[in-house]
Amino acid sequence: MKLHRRQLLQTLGAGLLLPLLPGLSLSATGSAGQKRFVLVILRGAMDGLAAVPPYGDANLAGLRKQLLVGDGDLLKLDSFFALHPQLKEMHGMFQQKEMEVLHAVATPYRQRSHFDAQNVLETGLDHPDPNADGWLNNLAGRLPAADITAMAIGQSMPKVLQGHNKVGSWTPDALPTLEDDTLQRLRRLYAEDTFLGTQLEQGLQAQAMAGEQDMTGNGGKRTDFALLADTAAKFLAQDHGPSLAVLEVNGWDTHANQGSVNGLLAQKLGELDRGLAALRNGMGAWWTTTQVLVVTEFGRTAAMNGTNGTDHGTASVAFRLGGAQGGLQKPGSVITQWPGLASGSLLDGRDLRPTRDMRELFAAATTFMTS
Amino acid sequence: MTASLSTYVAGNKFGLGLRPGERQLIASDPRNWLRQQLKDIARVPAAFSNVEPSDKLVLEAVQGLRKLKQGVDAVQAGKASSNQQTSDARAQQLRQQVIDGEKSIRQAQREQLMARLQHSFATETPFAERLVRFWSNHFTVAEGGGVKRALRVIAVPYENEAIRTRLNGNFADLLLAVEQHPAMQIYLDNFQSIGGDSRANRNGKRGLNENLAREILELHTLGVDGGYTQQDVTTLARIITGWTVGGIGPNPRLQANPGRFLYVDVMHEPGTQRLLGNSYRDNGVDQGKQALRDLAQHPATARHIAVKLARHFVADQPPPAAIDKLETTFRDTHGHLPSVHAALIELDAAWDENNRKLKTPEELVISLGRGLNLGSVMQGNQRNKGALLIQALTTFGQTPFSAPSPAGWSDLAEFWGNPDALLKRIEFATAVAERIPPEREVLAIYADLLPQQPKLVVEISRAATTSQALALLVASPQFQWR
Repeated sequence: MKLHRRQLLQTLGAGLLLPLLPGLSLSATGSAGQKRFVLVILRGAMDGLAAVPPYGDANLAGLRKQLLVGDGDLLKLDSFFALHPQLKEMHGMFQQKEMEVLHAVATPYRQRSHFDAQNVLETGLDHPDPNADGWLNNLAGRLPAADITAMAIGQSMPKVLQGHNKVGSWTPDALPTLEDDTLQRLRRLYAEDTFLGTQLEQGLQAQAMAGEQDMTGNGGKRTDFALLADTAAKFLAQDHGPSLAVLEVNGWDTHANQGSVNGLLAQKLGELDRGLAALRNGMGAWWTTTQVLVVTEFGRTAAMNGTNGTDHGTASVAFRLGGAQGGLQKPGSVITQWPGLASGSLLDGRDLRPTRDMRELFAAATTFMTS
Repeated sequence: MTASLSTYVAGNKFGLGLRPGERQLIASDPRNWLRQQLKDIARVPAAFSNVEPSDKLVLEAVQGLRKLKQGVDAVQAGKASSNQQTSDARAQQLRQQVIDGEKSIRQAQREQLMARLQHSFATETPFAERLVRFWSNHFTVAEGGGVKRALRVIAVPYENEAIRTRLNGNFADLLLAVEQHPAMQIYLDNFQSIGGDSRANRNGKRGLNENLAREILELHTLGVDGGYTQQDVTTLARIITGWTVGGIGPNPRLQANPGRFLYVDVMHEPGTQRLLGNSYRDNGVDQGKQALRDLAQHPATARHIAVKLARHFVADQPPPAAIDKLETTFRDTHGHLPSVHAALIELDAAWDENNRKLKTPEELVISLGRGLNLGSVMQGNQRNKGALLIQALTTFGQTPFSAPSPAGWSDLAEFWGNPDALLKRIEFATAVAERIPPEREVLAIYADLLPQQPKLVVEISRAATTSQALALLVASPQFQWR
């Protein structure tokens, strides 16, 4: 479905008014309680050109030769787009028409600050506003009352769920495992400290050894995201479970040593892939009426930077997954008005140009849940 | 050194970590900002107004223990008793009382530690608070088994009653208040030490406990190289026999001064004693008081205290000149603490940015609480966050008042900067950053707390999320030092 900007604002704005006008009931009718919507936010800006490379675009290789995955390793979607080889489960879902890919998508925000971009993604506004409610919080207010209509699964309550309507959360007990990305940044800082730098490196070596020992025997450890996704499914796949859930995956800010078939980004993609599979499998029969939307705050530069990575860009890719009645538009296809990667086509001469407002996807989710 | 750098030293090294807005208060005259804090150092802050006095808590805790013992005895007796049912019911009843008592003790302990942590987050006289903690660590007490479980609830009152209130007087008065306080008497076993030739020991079955006497010489005054012998230890132990706590034993003669220091002459070793070349005639409790006053004035004590202070306020390996300055001040003023504390401020080496100290885990948590303005974190629906910080101290192995030995906590980088501990600090930073979202931009927080290092500025501004930015700041090497 495709909404014009005014319709979009109406759809999103209605929820915003509700808490102020309690007498004006905009509660959904019909079978809303029988559906589930899961938002997955990839924080740090996922490189859409690496996750879903447009291998048919003649300009791609010239921009980022060292980041490219060889043709034989790509998981082809059609004659132009492919998935990164780590996205095996998602490739399977695409083939079974349980996933569609939306490329060259962005919020209306055109600067390149993570914080502001995430604010825009989560409020559904066209500019950052720290005081605005999250759009999913607004949606929660429009669904039939339940014990818990919406839930954050993870360490904190994301902005997208913050607001006037009461929402729930579930936090894993253990301390979070350290993001590799955070650790890499810290190692750079500790390298400057003569005393602490050495100590940290020793600690990491010891930890790596312990980690390898843990791996033996149980066929590789499950990543945090897979665990969270599995937990989310347990909540959602109950008759009186929440209708909305938010999951977050950090660590996509691949400024250096991004890798190609293997490497930093490949690890993150593998984690995402396993988590989405865990979610689908955990939902059981509920999967039929579930929609999962995977988005990131912006994309990355089309060209590789000087440290084998990519810097902050604009458009990226979004994934929409779900069962037969999950509200997908064209399952099993890549939905895009491809802007092209020719230097004249790039936004500001550097970024993939957006051709679709990400808020169309939010509006579609809202319609899906309230119709 | 620039004025702005000395502001950071005053707030972070002498204080407990800068709070937002504090830098501006300090900037015009950092040394004066520190000096002003010494004026009111001895006043117990309002944050502790709900903490009950130690005498009441000592009695409650000990009575709870007595019930526990009765419960155990009743179970034992029940096994031999013909009336099994009655004794089982009685044992059950007592056991329940014990469980309830334990709960209330743990609850009171939690409240006290929360109040103490909260005060450290909020205090406007953080240099004074650091001094209180320095001395409280110098005169460490820690909980243990048996009657030492009482220390769970009397350690915080002890810190206020015996230490804080004495910090505008002489070291000798501080020493006396500490050694006579029930917390120290119980922690180092002196309350049950009895002179071998005392009237209380006519049957010859009991006697000396040297524990407190040894630590007074080794840790509290002269120092391990202070020139005393084993004979001096034994002699000092004899001198302070009869120093005990009223109302915690079954003996009807020991019920005066309930929960407070009590001198019991019949437990005291009679006779003149010779300690470190001085003769002390037996004039009861005054024999011990005089011995402690002389120990407080001993040159070795001045040296020992000077070394510890310099190590805490200057560097792990302080320059000899700094130690000498403190030693001289201590000796010349006969241990006048305000003079010694003021001398710290005048140590140029303390202000040298090359002389830095690794924060202990507790200092890390406190500086975080101050930097993020978490003074309210321990209250109401924010308690979970406060619990996260208290729990972190346990994870780091520095639960307050649980030092592994009477020497207290080390403040050396070698002790706290081990590889695994650093990883824990980084994990802690990540957890805090995710659960306690910052109220302001992380770069602005950084500017409030520390001199700006370009590389950290870059990493923070490049962070992918606000929580990652905060984690980078809190886990950064710069934030680990003071």
